[in-house]
Amino acid sequence: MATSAERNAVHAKRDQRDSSSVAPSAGGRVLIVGDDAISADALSTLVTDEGHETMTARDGSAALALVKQWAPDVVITDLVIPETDGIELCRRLHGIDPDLPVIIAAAPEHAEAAFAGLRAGAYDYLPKPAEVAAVAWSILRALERRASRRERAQLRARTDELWEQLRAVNERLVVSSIREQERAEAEAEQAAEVNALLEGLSEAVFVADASGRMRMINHAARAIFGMGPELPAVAALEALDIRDIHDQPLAGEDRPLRRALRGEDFSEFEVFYLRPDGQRRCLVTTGTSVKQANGVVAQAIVIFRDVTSLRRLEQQREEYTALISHDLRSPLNVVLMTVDLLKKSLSEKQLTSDTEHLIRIERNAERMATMLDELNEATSLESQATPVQHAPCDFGKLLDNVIAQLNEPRARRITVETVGAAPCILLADAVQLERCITNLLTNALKYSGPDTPVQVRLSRTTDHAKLDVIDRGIGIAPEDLKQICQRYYRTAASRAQAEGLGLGLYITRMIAEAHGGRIDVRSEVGKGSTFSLILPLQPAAA
Amino acid sequence: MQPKLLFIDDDIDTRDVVRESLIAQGFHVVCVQTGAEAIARLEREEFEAVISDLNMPGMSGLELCRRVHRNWPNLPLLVLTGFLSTGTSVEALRAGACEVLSKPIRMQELLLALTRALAGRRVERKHTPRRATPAHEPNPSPRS
Repeated sequence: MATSAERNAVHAKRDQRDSSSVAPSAGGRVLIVGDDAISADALSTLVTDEGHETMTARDGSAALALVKQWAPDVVITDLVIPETDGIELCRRLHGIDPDLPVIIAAAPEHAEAAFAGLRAGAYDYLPKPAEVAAVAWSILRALERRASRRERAQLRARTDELWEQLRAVNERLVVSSIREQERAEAEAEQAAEVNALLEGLSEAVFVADASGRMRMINHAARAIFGMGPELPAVAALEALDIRDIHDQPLAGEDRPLRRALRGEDFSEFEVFYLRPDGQRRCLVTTGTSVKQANGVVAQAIVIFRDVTSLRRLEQQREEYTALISHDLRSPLNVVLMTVDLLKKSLSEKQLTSDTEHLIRIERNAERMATMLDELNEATSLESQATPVQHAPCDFGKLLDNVIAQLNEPRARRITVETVGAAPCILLADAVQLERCITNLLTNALKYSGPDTPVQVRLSRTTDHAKLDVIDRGIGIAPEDLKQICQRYYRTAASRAQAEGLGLGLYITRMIAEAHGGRIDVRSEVGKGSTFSLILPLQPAAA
Repeated sequence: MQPKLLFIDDDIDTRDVVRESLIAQGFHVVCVQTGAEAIARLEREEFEAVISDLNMPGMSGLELCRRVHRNWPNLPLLVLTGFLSTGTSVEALRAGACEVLSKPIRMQELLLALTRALAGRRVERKHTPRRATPAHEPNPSPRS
């Protein structure tokens, strides 16, 4: 309903644009709504001249459709439009885009209604006829507001996003710092435990870095080597008087720490340490290293165990055993030989009742002699003073020899069965092996009734020879079975027999093991036992 | 004539009982306490065999064996030891002993060893010119 005067006014004001204080900015999309085509076109021309894009809609529904399709930045609507009014349209438009600035154009007489539109959310009121400057200014402000709102929304979204990221990062940081702390605490705890453990060890522990500088030494190390609380210098360690078992100063390259630093692993390396006060300690050394992935030594660890008192005890035991097994023999020898002489002289004088007493003395002196033999043999096997003399020997023949040496009634109880190809030749120490077989046979005879048979079975596989000694004797209780080959172990039954020191089976086992073999025992109380001597046909490489 | 044996042991009871036992078996036995005494007796008298303990104060049994073997290489030498191990046996045999017996002495074993040693000596004498034996006049074979 714009008049020509209005139109003229619009055009008249167009030239004022350049002098307007409103700076032209990037154009927006402006939707013009009005049913008066002439007025709408005039406004459209004006707006286009201002550098904006325009579209026009005749009524409310067309406007709504265009808003959805074209997404204008600003809407200028007449207050009076078909179907609805500008205010209602404004509401609907805000239903689609809440930030869309809607400018209501109205004649001054409709100003009241237009203000109501402002309250309802319209952005501006443009009195008709519209002046160029007012239109341009209003559109620009609306665009700016829209842009700034958008910017703010974007900024807000960005801020929210950043805030969210920050929160997440922070959370991660907090969690990881808690973890870090926990880990540090766990590590510290572990280190403290290891430290306490090392400090508590009776072995001296030295930990050095790749250059040989000490990283840690424990209490025992300080005690054994007489060191102060501070870590010893490399030179101080090199100055320690370490000697080999022949009492020669240990060459630099052979010193335990040097060996470990070279990446060598060693154990049970025995050395002497001569303390400055002249005290000699016997130490058993173990060394190893911690290597990096490329194999380069990062840390060397050397451990010394002080075995001085142990070695002293061992020496004492050896001396003691030698004493009783050696020095007791001479008097025993005298007793036995004297008994022998007496027996002869008594029997010449027909004093048989006195001979009985002598036989008792003789029997017991012989028992003592047997015990001394056992002790001597066990000690010599333990100290490996008697190396195994390997020579080919016929297992079957050895067995025959042993049986031949038994007295007649005992030998008669033994039946021998040979399974597989004979002869069974193996590389062994014949004397020791005979001893082994004798022990097994006499045990079987001893622990079974005087008339019960003892079965001996000799068999072989491709690489082993096996001798089973099967008796139908008293058997061995399960709790005794495991220990029966131990030093000095005696079952109740063997104690009742009161012979020997309980070293027979121990010696048998030691001999078998020295040959790379073993003794297996199966037994059932009341039914009998089977002792198996299993030996390799070829001794293991020494 | 009874075979004359020289017995060396530092223990007086052992000396006495061994002497008595061997005399009962028909030997003539001279007992001495030390290796040095034994060497002195050997230098003065003729013996058919020597029986010695290994573990003695002063000159050890092994040292005595070496000396006897060096000076009277054909004289049978029996060694008694309280500590019989392969090691000591080998050492004694290397030092010149022809037998190593463990204590306590089983009379049967000792007699067997002595008989063997004396028989060996008789065989050796039959086949060896007299001058090869030491500068002592050997007694004629005693046992009949």
